[in-house]
Amino acid sequence: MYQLILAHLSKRFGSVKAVDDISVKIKKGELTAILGPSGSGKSTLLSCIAGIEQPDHGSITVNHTCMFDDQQHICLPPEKRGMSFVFQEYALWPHMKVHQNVSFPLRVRKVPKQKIAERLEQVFDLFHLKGKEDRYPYQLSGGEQQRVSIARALVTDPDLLLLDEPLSHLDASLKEEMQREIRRIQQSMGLTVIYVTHDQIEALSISDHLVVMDYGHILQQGTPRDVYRHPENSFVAGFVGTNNLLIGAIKEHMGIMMLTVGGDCLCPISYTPNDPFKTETMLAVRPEDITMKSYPDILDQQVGIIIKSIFKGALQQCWVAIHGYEFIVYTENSTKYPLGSEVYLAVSKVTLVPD
Amino acid sequence: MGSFKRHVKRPDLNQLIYGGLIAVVAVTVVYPFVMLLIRSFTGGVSGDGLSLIHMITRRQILKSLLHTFLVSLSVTSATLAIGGSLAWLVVRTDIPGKVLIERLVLITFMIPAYILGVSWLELFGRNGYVSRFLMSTIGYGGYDLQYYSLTAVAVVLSVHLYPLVFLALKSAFQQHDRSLENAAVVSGASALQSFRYITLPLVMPSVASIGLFVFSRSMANFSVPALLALPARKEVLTTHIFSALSALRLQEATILSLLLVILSGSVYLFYRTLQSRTNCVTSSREAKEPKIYNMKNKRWPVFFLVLLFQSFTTILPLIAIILSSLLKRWGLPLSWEYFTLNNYKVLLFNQDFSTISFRSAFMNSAGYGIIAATGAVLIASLTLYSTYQKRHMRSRVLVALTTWPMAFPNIVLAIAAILAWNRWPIRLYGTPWVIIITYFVLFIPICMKQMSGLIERIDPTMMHAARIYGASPIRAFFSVILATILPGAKNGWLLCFLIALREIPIALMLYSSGQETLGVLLFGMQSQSYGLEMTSTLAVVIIVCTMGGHSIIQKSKRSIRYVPIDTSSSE
Repeated sequence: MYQLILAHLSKRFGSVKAVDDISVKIKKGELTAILGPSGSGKSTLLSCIAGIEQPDHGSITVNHTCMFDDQQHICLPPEKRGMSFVFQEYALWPHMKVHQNVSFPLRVRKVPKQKIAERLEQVFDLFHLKGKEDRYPYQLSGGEQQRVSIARALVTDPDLLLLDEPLSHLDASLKEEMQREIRRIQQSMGLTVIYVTHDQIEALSISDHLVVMDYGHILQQGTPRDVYRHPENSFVAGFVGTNNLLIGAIKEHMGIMMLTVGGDCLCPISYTPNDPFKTETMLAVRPEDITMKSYPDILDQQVGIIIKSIFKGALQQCWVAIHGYEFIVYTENSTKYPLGSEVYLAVSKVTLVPD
Repeated sequence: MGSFKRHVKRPDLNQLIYGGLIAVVAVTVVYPFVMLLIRSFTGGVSGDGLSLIHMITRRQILKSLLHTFLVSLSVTSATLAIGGSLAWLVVRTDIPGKVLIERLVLITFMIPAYILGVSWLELFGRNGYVSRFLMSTIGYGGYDLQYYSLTAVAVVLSVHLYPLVFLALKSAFQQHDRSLENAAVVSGASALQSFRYITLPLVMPSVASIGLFVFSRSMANFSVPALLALPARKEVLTTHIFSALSALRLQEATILSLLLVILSGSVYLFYRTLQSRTNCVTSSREAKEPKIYNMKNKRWPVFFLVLLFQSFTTILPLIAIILSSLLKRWGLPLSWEYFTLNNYKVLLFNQDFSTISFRSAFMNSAGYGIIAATGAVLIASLTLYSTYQKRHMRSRVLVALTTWPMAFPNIVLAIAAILAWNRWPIRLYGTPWVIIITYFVLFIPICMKQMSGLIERIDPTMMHAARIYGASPIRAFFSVILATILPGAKNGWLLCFLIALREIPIALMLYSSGQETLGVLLFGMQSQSYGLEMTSTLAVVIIVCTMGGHSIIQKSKRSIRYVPIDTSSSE
């Protein structure tokens, strides 16, 4: 069932623990995104899986075959691991034409010429590279180079495809198109993919399974929806999507559930959590879960002031200063509340951040 | 790649390669230079008892020094003015015929300096084509140009070297993003102001560095002043060394060589520091199309002016050489009855038309060239590979040692070779090996230059990618590293071979009887019983070889597009 199992993997560079005791199980046919800020160790982890870097401790198993195990002194060189890798800078060999680049994995495996030709035909079709076979990499646009590097990665029907920030050099519209393309190919071929990125929207939209990393540790993993809705710590709550973090409690006040900070009533909550947070703790509120009103629900509710406002097309993003906090609020009825106007907030959903 | 536990016990091949390289470089490059240093300070065997200070303050030597400076300075300013304006016109204006202009510049670049000097004599000499033309058209007989003079040297060297400036500044102009100047114009600058405050400061480092390079090259040139200044009894440092050696004053030649090395070495070092700085100023990764200045109705007049200049510097000299090579004897009028192909027949097929035969000279040049070029390519690629693997201090030392001969004028390499190889423990003087080793030392940096740009382009991820896609370490080395530098290795080899075919000072000072090369033959032709017609014939043959070789190199460069522009030494 599991395609890839990493157990207690660690890698140090000098005194820096780039990868620190990481254990992950990745299911066959799933796209797993590894999300983290730069320097979080996500690329090092990928290099360890591919065999470019040798980990210090732990084990890597693919399809029940051990690739690396420091206890048993096993370390397969990269060429024996049968994986494919798409590099951030594409790593196309500049002295080889497109067809030579793409056919290289087949040629080193001594696949017969006839078969190589057939396979190239298919792959060039799939990646819209027809007519570009005889060009050198420098003669291609960024998007085309990207497609060549993915074509090269998929030409062998690999067990495991590793992508290291593959779309970071593309512009926004091309990036979205390529995301859909990668997702489509992955699902149609049933590929197991590990996708490293620092872009949280990309990670949320593309993956089946999301792993959030920082400082070499895994901070949370689960389905994208799960990670977004139920962050397990303040880092994930702040890094994945936008969140308003505050220290507060939820108490009943005059028959209404209220979000309170230091005993003051901030705003009403329209739903009742199963287990109200009576003591003050860290809470997260998504901007889309807040609405603004021009009147208070109860008499002693704190008033907020709109201090900043950005028009974002589909919605308006407002910053509301209230009781020493700045709340980010997404709203559609922006014209109603000009800058500086007094508003009252209502919250539909609050998440507890365990941390 | 990391070090895999399975491969840890690999025999240390890298150490072995490094040790071998150091040994070869120590013997061939370092040892002769050390000998030059030692012999400059100790009296030497001949012991003419002259101290270093005493020697370099002698009047004649100070005079040679002054001449060298004057010539180099005028060549530098002339080439900067000509090459710079041509480069600007071609890159930054809508001048017509850009391809033609560039072709002609490249052709000029391929004519060896000595041959350009010969054509100068044929054009402007006492019985030259210009004086005859003046006589026959307007009957002017009072023609007396100082055709043997330092000015002549400066003019010929300027024509020979301005293509280098053109190529360097052309790429400098091309590297500037047009948005930089657009930004200035938008900020309210006039076209002139934007040139003054944006364009000029941006190319200034390139101008300075190529200027220094040209300065050191004109200082190092021997063959042109030997041809055009010696007959007027004017000496520069290189010819002074030659005269001293001819008069068997080895000590004087040695000290002068040291002086020349110190001068050209410091200019070269200055050039290197500047060059490393220009790289970071101008090389933007995605250079956009530069801004084009519209010359309107001045387009064609300017074009014809450029063409006129190029006719005088490229086309006329070539015509003069070819015409003279077809004459029965130099000096005969240009009429059909005096034209002949006999010179070519004599040169190419007559075994013993003089004391040296063309065939044996060609065989010598080619043989020495092939051996030295092959050795140099081998050493250069091994050096680059060992530096690519690990950027240690020791590999930097190795690169510095192998590129060091760049700073040496050819004639100094020859003197150092005499000092090193004419004595215990390695006595090679009198054998062909003394020429071959000196060529080898001369060629290593040229080959390094052809290949280093390529090897720097190999990002470590290229090797990682090859490994992940199934290549073993050896296969990855062959299909990534070797395949990438191979075109550079081929070009470097060919370039060195071509230099061997026309090189003069090293062969001239190191050959013994039976080892004459084409350069020696060309240089000595005039003083034998043959006139300029025979020199011209040989010159045409050398030019044809050079152009053929260069067109192969250009073709292969265009097909790979990632070899740096060649500005290597060629005398």
